Amino acid sequence: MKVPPWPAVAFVAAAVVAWYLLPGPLGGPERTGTPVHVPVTPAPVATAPHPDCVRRKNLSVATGDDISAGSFRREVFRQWNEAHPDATLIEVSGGTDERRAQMAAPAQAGSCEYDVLILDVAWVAEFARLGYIQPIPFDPRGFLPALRKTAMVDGELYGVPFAADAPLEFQRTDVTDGLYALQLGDTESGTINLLEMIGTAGGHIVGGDESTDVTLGEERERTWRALSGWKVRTTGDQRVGVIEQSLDDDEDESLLAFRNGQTAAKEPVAYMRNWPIAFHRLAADPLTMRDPARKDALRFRVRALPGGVLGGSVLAVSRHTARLPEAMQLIRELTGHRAQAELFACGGYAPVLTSVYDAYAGAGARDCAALLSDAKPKPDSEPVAISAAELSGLAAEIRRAIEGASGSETGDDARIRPKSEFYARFSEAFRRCARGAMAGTVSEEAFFASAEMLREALKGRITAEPPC
Amino acid sequence: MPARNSPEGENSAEPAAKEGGPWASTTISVLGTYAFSTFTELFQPFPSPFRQILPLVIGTVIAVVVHELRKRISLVPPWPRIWTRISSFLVIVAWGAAGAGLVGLVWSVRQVVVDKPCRAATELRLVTAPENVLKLRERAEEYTRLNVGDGCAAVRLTVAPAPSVTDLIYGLDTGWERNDNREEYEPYVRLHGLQPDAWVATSTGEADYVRSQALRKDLLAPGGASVGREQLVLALLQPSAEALTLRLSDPEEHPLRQVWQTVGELGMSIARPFPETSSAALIGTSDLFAAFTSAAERKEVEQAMISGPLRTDTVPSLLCAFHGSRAKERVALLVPGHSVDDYNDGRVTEEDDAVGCPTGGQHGRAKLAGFRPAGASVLDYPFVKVNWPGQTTAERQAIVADFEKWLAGRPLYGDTTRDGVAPVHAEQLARTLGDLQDTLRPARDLHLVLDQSGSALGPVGTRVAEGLRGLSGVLGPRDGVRVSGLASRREHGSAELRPIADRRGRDKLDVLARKIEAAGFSGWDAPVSAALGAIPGNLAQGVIVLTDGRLFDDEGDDPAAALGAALEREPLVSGLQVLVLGQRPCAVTGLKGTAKPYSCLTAGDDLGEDLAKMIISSRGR
Repeated sequence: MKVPPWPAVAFVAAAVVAWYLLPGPLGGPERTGTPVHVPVTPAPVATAPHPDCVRRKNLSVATGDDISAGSFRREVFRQWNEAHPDATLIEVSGGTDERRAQMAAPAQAGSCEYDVLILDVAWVAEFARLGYIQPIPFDPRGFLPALRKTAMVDGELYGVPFAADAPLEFQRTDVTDGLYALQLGDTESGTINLLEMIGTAGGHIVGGDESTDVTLGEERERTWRALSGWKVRTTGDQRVGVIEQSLDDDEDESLLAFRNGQTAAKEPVAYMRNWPIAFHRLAADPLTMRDPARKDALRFRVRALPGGVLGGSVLAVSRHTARLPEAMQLIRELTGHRAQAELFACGGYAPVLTSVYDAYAGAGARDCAALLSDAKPKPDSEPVAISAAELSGLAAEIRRAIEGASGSETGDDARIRPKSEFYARFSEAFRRCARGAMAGTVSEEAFFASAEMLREALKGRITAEPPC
Repeated sequence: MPARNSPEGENSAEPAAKEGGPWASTTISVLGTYAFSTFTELFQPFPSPFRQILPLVIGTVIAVVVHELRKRISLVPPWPRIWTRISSFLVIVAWGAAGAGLVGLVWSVRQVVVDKPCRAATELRLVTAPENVLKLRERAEEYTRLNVGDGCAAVRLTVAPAPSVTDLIYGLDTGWERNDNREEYEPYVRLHGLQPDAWVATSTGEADYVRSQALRKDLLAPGGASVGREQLVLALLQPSAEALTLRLSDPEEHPLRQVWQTVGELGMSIARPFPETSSAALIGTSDLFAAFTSAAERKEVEQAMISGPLRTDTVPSLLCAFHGSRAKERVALLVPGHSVDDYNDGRVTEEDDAVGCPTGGQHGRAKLAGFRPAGASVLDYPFVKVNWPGQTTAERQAIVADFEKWLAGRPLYGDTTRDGVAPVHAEQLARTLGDLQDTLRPARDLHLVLDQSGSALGPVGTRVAEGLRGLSGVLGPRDGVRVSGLASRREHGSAELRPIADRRGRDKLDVLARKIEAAGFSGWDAPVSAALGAIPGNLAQGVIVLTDGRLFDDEGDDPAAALGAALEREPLVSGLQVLVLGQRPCAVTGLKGTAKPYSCLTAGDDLGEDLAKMIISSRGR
């Protein structure tokens, strides 16, 4: 009887079993679900303009809704159009996801409808690495160093900072023993607040130059304490309770509670974390936010929250534009000293240029009316305009929030969010786990087990069985 | 056992195989491989992909070492038989390890190759009527999870509410720009949010109507699979439903006309959203117009609905208004069938909390029951692909088509229709819209009173102008709007109503907007009650006051009584609505001493939408 070739049998059998046991691609049959559907393949991202490219008549600038005070951003474009070939703002209403999708989808297809894009800083890596925008010839000196970093991707400059954002702490001076308003809802502001909360408590989520190293698990105790103890926040040497509704709030809802001095449930509110734009919205309300006897006296003060997360927007140029020179000219104008000072004083946008901060730190501080030659203060008006002194104080705190207590290159300058083209996936996964941990529906073990999922999310991968 | 002592036996696996058996060797190899593959946990400190590769490399190395040892080490002869067995056994183990190692190696190489960032998922944009957004989002997430390769999603679907049918037609013709009645020189245009790659229409008739009206009808692909099928229903609270059943035994067996009349006899009214802004309501209105054929009857039906207690622009906002209403038992809702489940499960009301769904309603205790009256149209939800020039490629179209096919097999709503019912036709919808706008919609004169004090500069001026530009969809051809400013020249001085713009129709909204922008805001706050007495004109007008909220501060000790008395004094003012911009709440929520309609709202993010709701709400008053 012929003896079987046992080594060969062992070879094949072990190979088959190994194949079955190994996870992921090339490993074993599908173990979860029974999809009958044949997965589609992503459409390639266009590397050249679409053959049926529709170019607008004017230089077009895609952006979200205008949140500047009095829609002042449009005024800046009106000024530009008076002296140059027209540029048109294409305003996309809707939430963050809708705005991002409305800019990304045409770019993928090679559309050349938009020449310039005003991008949230969190999207720059995605738009650059996926080929929606192009590197631009621009000298970024003169911008705050921390902001320059937001526009650099893989060593190249893909945009020019347009508006800065760094967290500030607002405190009402007329509400004693009030609580703290945060934004921990299921939106991007929730991610930012959570990263700040954990980071300032000495915990870890991400690290590295581009914030793409997931360091969740280091300083585990501090990280967990920040999450599980979210209901109390330290400000100065005080420990202040956080309002319960913060778990669902965004920036606008926090602002409403702060302005009213109380929540809908009548909890007193004395503190708020928010962006610089909130200053204009508060200071322009003389009845509730200014002293009735002295209209020049605000009923709140503002200070930097060093070590927070950097926000803001960047002007980028579409890969498929045919108007690069005009686009660059517009970008230079919008990021010039005059436009930046006006956008700050009149619109509430935090400036990106060191020269503007320097001006507001010295004798160059001017209020909106003084900056706009044709807008004289009206003698019969109530004195509600934000004064140069108020703007100076605000500028100093914004700069401190961006650069840290002792200037840039220190450890407590504002941190960037992970520079990944899949940041949105990371943000959503992190927020889900962290909010679950705060609500008590995600255990400590499950939360820290999410580190691998976050690493994969930054590469764009979906974890089949997420720990939370 | 001669074979064991034969010279060949020493170099062959056969003896060991016979004694130890191949299964032992294979089992050891397998267990070893399995152990290696589970070592990942022990290798946690190493970064990926080394964490996964390292155990396999070590496993392979051990197998090779064992194999090499066997070849190189010569064991002493006292145990030749044992050595023969061991060596044969080791050969098999080594081959097993090599097999496992080879697979592991290929797997590892692939891991290294694929462990790079995913490709860009294809971004697709979908719109549908607001009441379908939740369900379509669920399906989109399901489809995304199905289309994952190597852990990477192939698609990313974003779902947003579709604009009204009129705005959609306009948007197709203008590259998705809003109909803002803007002059050319303005430096901005606004889009209707997402510019869709596909639109899930409410019915085939609606899709055909859009195709027939749009100049760029070529942008819409013909046909489109049905991705849901249900009927419009009449939804009532359980006690009201029981009362209706007592009168009609089985309301579903009776025609819409009879159900309408019986609902009225029971002291209830039928509410639907504004048909110009809600496709489901337009279809429902069309069904009612089919049941009431004479012009007089239609006028009566429309008047009853437009003057009913719940006047809203979309199905979710109608459910929201119902949720917060104190007279739920006197209202029957004409809505898509799934909206009843959405309401009963708390989906719409919870979702809408963010946009002001009133809290404190009876949700959770008060459930709706839905009837499908004979004559209520089928909603068949056709999937309409939109091909924008310069934004469509064959690959993207293929994915959209794949999603359409998948969605048709996994529809938004399971078929709950009665036998023999059909979708509405495009011609019916066109007739209904024509009837509404040309004959049935009573002409409405509106007077916008702007708080012109200096404090209102930021919040009021620019936002009102912008919101006004987008209102043509809710104004009829005979409607008129005029604008005045209210302020006082000195603190606590007398109120002045300054004309800003004379009466203009819906095609001149930009003129009104520009006059508001040019008006300037200065002076001090003045009481609204004083303004009502100065309203010019000789036609009844609804007054809408837009303020930062401070106008109420000068109404004296009892603002509700002061405003109520002022409203009652003015016969030409048919009602008062106040929209508070900025962050202050409504200081006066109800009036005393008048039966005229009054409401006060705090504006949300989209002032145009808030103004549209107010105009809808002011109709029938």
